[in-house]
Amino acid sequence: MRTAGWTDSVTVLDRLTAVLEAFGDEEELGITELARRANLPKSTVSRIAADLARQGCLDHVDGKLGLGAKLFELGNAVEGPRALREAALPVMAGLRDATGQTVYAALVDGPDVVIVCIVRGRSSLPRGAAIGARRAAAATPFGRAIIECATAKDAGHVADGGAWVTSPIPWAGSEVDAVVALDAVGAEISVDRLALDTWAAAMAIGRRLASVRSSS
Amino acid sequence: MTELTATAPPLEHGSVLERILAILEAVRAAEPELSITELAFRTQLPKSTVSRLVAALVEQRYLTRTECGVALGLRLFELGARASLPRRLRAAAGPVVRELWEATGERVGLWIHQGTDMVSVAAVPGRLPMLPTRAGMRTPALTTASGKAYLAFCSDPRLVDQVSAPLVDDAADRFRRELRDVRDSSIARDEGVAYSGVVAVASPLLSVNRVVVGSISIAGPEGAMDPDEVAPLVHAAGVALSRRLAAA
Repeated sequence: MRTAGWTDSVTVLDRLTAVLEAFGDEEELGITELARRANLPKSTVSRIAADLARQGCLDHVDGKLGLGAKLFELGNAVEGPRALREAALPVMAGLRDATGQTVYAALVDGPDVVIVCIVRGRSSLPRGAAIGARRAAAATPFGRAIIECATAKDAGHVADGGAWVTSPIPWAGSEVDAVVALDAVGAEISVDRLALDTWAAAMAIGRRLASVRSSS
Repeated sequence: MTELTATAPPLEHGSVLERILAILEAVRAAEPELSITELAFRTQLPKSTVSRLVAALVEQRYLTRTECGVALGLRLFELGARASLPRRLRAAAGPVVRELWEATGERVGLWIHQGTDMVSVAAVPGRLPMLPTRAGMRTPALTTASGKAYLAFCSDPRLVDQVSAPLVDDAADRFRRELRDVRDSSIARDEGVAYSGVVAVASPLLSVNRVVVGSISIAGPEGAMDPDEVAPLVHAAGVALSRRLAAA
């Protein structure tokens, strides 16, 4: 006879995911709120949360629960974002210094866009823009600009009436599309110039990715 | 029909969560990818169990299928990016880390605790080029300055017991005495023990109610970096960052 919940491994994983994803963009939650968002009984969530905390997947912070160090450690080991971040960060910093604008690197995963790296410039970040954020590409101007760029493979692409400048990052051998995007709003440099700079940055990141691959 | 693994009998892994984490950890350690067969061997779980769990983990994007097996999936990256303590530390640390780096020129690291290790949240490169500066690096809490700074202020005696378990008799006593000294001075040192040729100095990071949440450290070349000279700077950085964390 099957007992509900903890013994069936597929159900277990579904519930674990429900609890972990319930945190959304919030940092810390109490058990009651967690149960409400995960849509699970409070007693179940209490048990699951205790197990997750014991394993380091949740941390206790100031009397509430937050996503934990174990997930942080595993997350930093995921190959695609790690390689992209390592290759892109110095180049993106250079692009930001040259233009003053905020620069993003993102992966395209099916219909979604996942932000991997942000280098802050003068503009403020749009709502929901954070490292690790996954958004349906169709839902935001940023997402649509990234998808347009990745689909068209359009170097130095100007999107959304000049609000974004994007360029695909050449990533040989990878099945994943990566794009660098620059927030062009409020720029003191012409959009054409920004497009050229963004394209050059994408090429530089691609070269760094290729040299890591050849040296490993 | 039973499937036998190559060597030792399968370990008792208690809960499904433990098995899942054993699989994810084995894939992480193997980086970038691992075959199902090898995964079963390393976790000492039956291959059928591993296959079943891997299928579920791939479906939920904790793992992704590769040419030769599986690799860690994007969901872990997305969840890890929202981890609470690292986020808080990074948000508060910028000016403090910058100032400490400018004052010393050495590698500055921010660390949180995980099991019997410390995990890096961020690091800025210093004089020693071979010292890694990635986020998510693991170092042992027992021998490193960052670990000792954390343990000395940690209110859970079981953690200290767990970390110091490999030590015997005199070494265990010395370790506990050292932690008491660290508590008095708020400074921990490691002089070439954890990593040969590397000297490190660390101070705890305390949140509200003086609960320790991590540590800040600098690491430099043995013989060239003077721990006594830099200790006050590291201590000041720890205090400044703790204040910023409590205020956030």
